[in-house]
Amino acid sequence: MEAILVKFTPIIIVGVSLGSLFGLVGLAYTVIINASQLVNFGQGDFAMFGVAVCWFAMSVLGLPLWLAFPIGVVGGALIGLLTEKTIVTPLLRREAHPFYPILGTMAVGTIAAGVVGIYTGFYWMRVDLFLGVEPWRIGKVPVNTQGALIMGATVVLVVAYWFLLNKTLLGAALRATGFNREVSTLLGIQTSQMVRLSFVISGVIAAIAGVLCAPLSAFNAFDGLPLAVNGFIALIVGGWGNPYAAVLGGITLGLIRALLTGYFSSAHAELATFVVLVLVLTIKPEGLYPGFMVPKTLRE
Amino acid sequence: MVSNRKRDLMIGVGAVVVLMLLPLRLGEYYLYLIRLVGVYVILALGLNVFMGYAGQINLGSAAFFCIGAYVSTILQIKLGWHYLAGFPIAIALSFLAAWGMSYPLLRLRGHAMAIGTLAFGIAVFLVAERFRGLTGGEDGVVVPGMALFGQVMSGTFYYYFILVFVVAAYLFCYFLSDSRIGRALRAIRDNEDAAAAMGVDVYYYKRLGWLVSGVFGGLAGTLYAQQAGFLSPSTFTLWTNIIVLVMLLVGGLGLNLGCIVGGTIMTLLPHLIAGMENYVLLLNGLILFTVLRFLPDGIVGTIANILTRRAG
Amino acid sequence: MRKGFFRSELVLVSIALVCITILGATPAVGEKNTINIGYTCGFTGPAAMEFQRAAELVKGIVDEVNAAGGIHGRQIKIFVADDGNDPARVMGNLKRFRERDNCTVMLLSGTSTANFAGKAWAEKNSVPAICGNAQSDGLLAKPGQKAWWFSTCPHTRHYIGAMGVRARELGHKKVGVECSTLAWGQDGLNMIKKHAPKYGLEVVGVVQAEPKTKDLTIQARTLRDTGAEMVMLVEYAAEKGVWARAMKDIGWDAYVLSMSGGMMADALLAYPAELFEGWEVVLMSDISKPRCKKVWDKYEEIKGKRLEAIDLTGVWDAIHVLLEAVRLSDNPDNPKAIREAFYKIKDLPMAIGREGAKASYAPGKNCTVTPEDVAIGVVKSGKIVGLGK
Repeated sequence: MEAILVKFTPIIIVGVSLGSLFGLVGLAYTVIINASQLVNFGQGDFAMFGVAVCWFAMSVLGLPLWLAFPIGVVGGALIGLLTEKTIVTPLLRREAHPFYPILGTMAVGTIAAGVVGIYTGFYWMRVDLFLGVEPWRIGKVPVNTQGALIMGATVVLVVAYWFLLNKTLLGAALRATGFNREVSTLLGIQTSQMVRLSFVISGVIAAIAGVLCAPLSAFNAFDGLPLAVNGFIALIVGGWGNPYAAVLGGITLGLIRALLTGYFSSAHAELATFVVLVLVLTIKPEGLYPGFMVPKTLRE
Repeated sequence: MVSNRKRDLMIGVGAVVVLMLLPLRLGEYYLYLIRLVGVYVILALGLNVFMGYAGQINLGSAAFFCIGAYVSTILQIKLGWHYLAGFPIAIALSFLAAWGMSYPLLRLRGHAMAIGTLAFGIAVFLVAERFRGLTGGEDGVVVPGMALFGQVMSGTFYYYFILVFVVAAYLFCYFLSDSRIGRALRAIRDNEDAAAAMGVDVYYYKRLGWLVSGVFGGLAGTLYAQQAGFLSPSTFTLWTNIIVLVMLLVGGLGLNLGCIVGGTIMTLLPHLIAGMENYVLLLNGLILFTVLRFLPDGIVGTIANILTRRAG
Repeated sequence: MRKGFFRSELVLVSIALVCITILGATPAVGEKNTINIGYTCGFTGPAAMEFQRAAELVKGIVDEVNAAGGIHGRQIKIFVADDGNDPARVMGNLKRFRERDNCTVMLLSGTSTANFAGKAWAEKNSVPAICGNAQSDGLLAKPGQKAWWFSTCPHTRHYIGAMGVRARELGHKKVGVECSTLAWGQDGLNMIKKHAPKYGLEVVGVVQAEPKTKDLTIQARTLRDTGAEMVMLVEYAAEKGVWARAMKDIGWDAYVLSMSGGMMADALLAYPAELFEGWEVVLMSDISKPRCKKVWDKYEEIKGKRLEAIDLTGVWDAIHVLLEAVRLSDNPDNPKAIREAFYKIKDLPMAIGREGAKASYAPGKNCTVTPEDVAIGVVKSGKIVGLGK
């Protein structure tokens, strides 16, 4: 029993910490979905841009991490704003098929990746582990510090987002805009501002997730896309449009991958993710936890 | 309507004649580029039926491209079959794969379909990359040359071979567009529920569009592998799916001619800027952005709009 | 209405102008009176930095040869293109070099994936090609076979041989292997399994890592549980760092022997150096030897930067072998003649290998390196230091 626990606990920790990462990206997706019914296919590149700005602040401007991190987050906010201004709102105004603004977000993300790539030569943007190389030890179990930070940040961000949505007027406006844009406009809510805000928030969350995971494995301009795909899968597996379900979905996926790695082989974890996705889409297309933490009145 | 057909026919025949005469003037490298364009045009035409006519989303078009390429190649390498024997099998297996995947994927709507097809595309790529015993994995495999009448076929032969199928595919799509099936697909695109209310079997036609897209993809794949002489999974990455989509958008979603224009531009782009490869990603993003923002009907679509405005 | 009308036309016209500009800007084709070399290089992709440096060195050396009058009085023109380590693009580049640019010999800087495509093309089109960075054994010539694809660097089997010798030297018996799921990793794994018994080693556990994986602690634990005394690593730079962190996280202090000095050097740039302290790595060359120093002197001359990069020694040998073959050939405009000249090379000193190593090829031997040429280095304070073997 002891042996099983010793093997099991680290797997859970790894699964939850990596899963939270994807869950955060999934959360970032839902912010935009809930305000505008759009999917931001440039989400991963938002994260990548945040990392790029943070790295630039550290390596070129020589700033310490505690300054560079917020600057990176501002970078994420900026790219969110840029995406919204240059492609999303113009296309929304044109009342084109929603397909188009979604591809627009991908276009801006690709441009960002292209620019960062050219500047860095597609080489790695080094961001070191926040708390150094040595792991923490809880009893006999070592915990990777970065993973712990990711889990902590996830909790903070989810709580903050919940607070924003449910306890502030701004949050109510955001929710209303997502629920029904025409009625919200009639009620005097500036829906275009809400959409803009949702992109900015999404950029902030993505940047935080990006910078947190950059020290784990050398991060370059191409690494936005895998993050976007995994985050999106987390969202679908968890529950479409439900931010808390997205985080839970990410954690579920992370756990599945970790368990597979621990008990079978790590060679096919990526393939396994897609198999899980296809299974969920086939058997329960609305996601595993679609109603998680959503008050009954708002459930569509 | 009739005069349009006549005009289209004359332009088409003229273009085909020019293409048939090109090998007399151009070297192997340029013929290779045109073959490549032909392959991607077939892929784009297929996707156009599903996305342009029927208004659905397929972000995993490279999957059938990959299946077609590897099936005919593996049959040649592992079982020693002749290419022309493997060729129909590759297409048949693409058809079967499309049929099989139509059940889980076509039930989905909008975003779920996007991610589902994307997942399929990535999964097929991963199989090609990781199962080295079967596909040669990341290192790729040499595709055996094909011998006919005792002679190994050259690049020029493949040029004409591919040309035949490009013309056939284009004609297929051209006539499909005006047919009952084409109208049904467009009805689904415009308003799925209204179409259903009018008696269109939505699921049947969606699957039809999907199958066309799958078969064209498999055809493109097997042609690609054979004419390239070397096959590796790098041709079928996540990025390829996006590029094919951009081809449709650049040319004009729903327009067959758009597939040709878009296919040509996006295929030739990396080769034209040889020496500035770092910029490919940025350029792709800029092209997509420009088309979405300023040319939503694509190049062909916008030209068509201008022409009709001038006339009317 | 009018505004939209003009705008569409404007956009179309600007696009047309841009296209014409791009077409006009495409570089000139190879002329007939220069000797033309095609160089396809993985500027983007997993080992980008390594190959970018290689390209800079090659260009500098060619410029120098040209300044001294060229070869047989003719200038050398080298065409460089990126292939992103994508086999399809490698083929495209080689085709263009041959058809449009009249190149008669090719240089490759890419991973094995790119080189398999290059070798296939070279054989099909009877054009000689040479590569200067470590490759898979699948690219080696079969016994008695004359090749079109040559190399001046160690292949997997040379590295494995050196690793086996070193492991046996240190008295290890049980080996755990960590490798990439990609081709190079799998190749390495199979070679290790095949040759381990020769050195008295037993492979007790294998873990594989997918590219861009973010955590390997579970895998590290699994490998430790198999009772492995040491770890052999066949892994790319990014994942090397993840593995190093994993071993630190679980507190496993085993001896690590890694393949690919180039990957290790890149990893040291991307991660804190303390993660790799004490790791040993097989190298193309012992960097303390004078013949390596001359490579870095040359690079410093060209770029103004002192860079003691191991991988540069391989491409140094490759470009010098290539130029020697062109010099010795009866007819530099004929690819076949250049290929024959490869087999004529005799007294060309190498930067890789034992003291006094000279390049030579023979039917069945298309690589200048043997297992004895491979050196072992150790990571000390963030730098790779040769063990003086």
